[in-house]
Amino acid sequence: MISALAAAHAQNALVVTATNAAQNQLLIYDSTGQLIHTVSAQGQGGVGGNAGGIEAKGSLVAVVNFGSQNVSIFERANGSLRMTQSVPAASNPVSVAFGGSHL
Amino acid sequence: MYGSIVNSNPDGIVTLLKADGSAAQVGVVQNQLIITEKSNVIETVDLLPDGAVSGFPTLVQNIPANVNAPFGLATRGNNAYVTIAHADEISLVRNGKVLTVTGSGTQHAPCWVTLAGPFLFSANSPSKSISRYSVYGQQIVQDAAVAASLNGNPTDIASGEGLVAVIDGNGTASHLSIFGVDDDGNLTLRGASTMSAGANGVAVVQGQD
Repeated sequence: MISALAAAHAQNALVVTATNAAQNQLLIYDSTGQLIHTVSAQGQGGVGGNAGGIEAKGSLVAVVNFGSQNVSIFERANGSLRMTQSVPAASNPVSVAFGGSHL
Repeated sequence: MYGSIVNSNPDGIVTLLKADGSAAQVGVVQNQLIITEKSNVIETVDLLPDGAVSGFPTLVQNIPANVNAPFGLATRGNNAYVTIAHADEISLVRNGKVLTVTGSGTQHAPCWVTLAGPFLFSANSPSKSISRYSVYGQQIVQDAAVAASLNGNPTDIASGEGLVAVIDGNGTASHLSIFGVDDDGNLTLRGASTMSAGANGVAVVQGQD
C-alpha cells in the first residue's frame, strides 16, 4: 500500500505537458488529470520525435521551445507554476535535463 | 544555476558525434551527460567538477551490433537506462559502457522510460502500452509486459511523488494519463485528460509549495 505521506505528496503533485504549438503553452494538471492552469511559455514549439522535452527538479520545470531556440523556466508558486525566465539555447532544443547546479 | 535562476550564458558547448538532427534525449549521470542520437549513437560528455561540459563526446562502448534508434533514457546515480527503441531493447549504460541489454518481449519499440523506486517503466509506442521492469545491479528484468494500456501511441513518460504520467497521441488528439504506482509497481489510473494533438513532454512536479 502507498504510505499516507506518499499519498499526500501524490495528491498535491502537479503534472505538466506542453502544447508544442506555434505559441507554446504549459498545461498544468492536478494529480487526477484536471486541467488547472494554462501558462504561456513565451516561445515557439514544434519539436517532434524526441524525449525529455520537459524536466522537473524540485519546484522548477524546464520546457524546450524548439522554434524559438530557448528554454522556459517555471517555478512552483501558490499551487501552480509561473514562468520566471527564458534561457537561450545554442540551437533548437529537443531535450533538457537538470544536473547538480546546472541546466 | 543560482538558486532557481539559470545563468543565460552557457558555461560550455559541445558538438554531438553525429549532430545530424536526430538527437533524442539528454540525461545526467554522476560526472557526465549521456545523450542519444537516433542515428545509432549513445555518447557521453564529461562534466567538470563545477558541472560545466568539457571536451568532446565519447561513443559509449559495447553498443549492441543490432542497434537501431537509441531513444529515451532515465538516469539514477551512475546508471543510465537507455532504450534502443527499434531493436526492442533496453540497455544499462554505466561508466561509458553498455553492461547489459534486455529485450522488450511482446511489446515493441520501448521508446521512453522512467524510474520509480525499484521499477523501470517503458512506454511502448506502437504497442500502446506501458511495461514494467525490475532493475537492480546489472539486471533489467521484465516482470509485466503490459502494466497498463493506452489510447494512443505514447510520446513520453515521467514519474515522481508516487505517480507515473504518460502522454500519448493518435493523430487527432493527445491524451494525458496519470497512474498511481504502489509498492509492487502496480499502476492504477487516477485520471486522464484529452488535449489538442502534438503535445510534447511530460513531467511530475513535487507536491510541496
